[in-house]
Amino acid sequence: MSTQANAVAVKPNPNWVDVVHESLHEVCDMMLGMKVTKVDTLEVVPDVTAIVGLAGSLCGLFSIRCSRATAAKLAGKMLGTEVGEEDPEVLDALGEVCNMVAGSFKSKIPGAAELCLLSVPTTIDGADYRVHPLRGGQCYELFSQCDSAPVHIVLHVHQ
Amino acid sequence: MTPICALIVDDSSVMRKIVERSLRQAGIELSEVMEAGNGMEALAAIQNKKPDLILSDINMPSMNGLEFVKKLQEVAGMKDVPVVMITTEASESHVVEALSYGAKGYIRKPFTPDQVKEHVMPLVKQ
Repeated sequence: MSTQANAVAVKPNPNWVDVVHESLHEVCDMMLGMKVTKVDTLEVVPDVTAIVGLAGSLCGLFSIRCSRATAAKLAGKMLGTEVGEEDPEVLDALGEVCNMVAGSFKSKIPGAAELCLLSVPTTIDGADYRVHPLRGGQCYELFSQCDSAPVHIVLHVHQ
Repeated sequence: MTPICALIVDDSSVMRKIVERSLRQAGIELSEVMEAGNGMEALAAIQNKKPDLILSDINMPSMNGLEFVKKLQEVAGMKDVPVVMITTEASESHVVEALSYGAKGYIRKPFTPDQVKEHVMPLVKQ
């Protein structure tokens, strides 16, 4: 794949928070059967995090953070079965949700759909960490309720 | 209707289960479901049994879905097995590349069981 060869950087846009929300709504509606509500702020216990890297015309990091209980709920909805908080599917499912939301997001951004690639998802188990992007850039945050489950999405875009 | 053997290739075990469930919801009878976590594992799996249908992700470690579809065409007796890509990578260039390598369909994640039915049903002889 030579997608990045002629990539021209996409300019960040404040409306991207709405695009992220739209993407989360799409994933939750089609794959999880959950209703998404955007809220101004929310207390999210970030027990688990899923990350997908963006490279090409749009460089950065897309992450979803939530409590283990929320992640188990998302996994259960995806699989259509009860999933315990310690089940291995919990992190796998959160990674896939992150992957699909990031994919849906970039498909809606002109210039990113074709010229931006996604990494495979990575998951972090634990809340005691900080993210330090090595290059300057923009940070977009979205707080959402998936049914009643709080989710925090952060998009770091490098410039 | 003759049940078919499907090979599902995705690095996420959750997604493999969802794809299998979507196939069943689409009314496709499955005699067996083979699973692989990447293209390498998929190439190894088909040495043991020839599937009737392959559904493959693109973004996977070790060997991605596009490389897998390309290599699959070189495996004797596998050219007639329909491959459908199921992936978040839905740019036109990825679709064109996958189809040029021999894939017969392309489904973008997130997807509904109806979309799986629409893309897969015409490809399976049951």
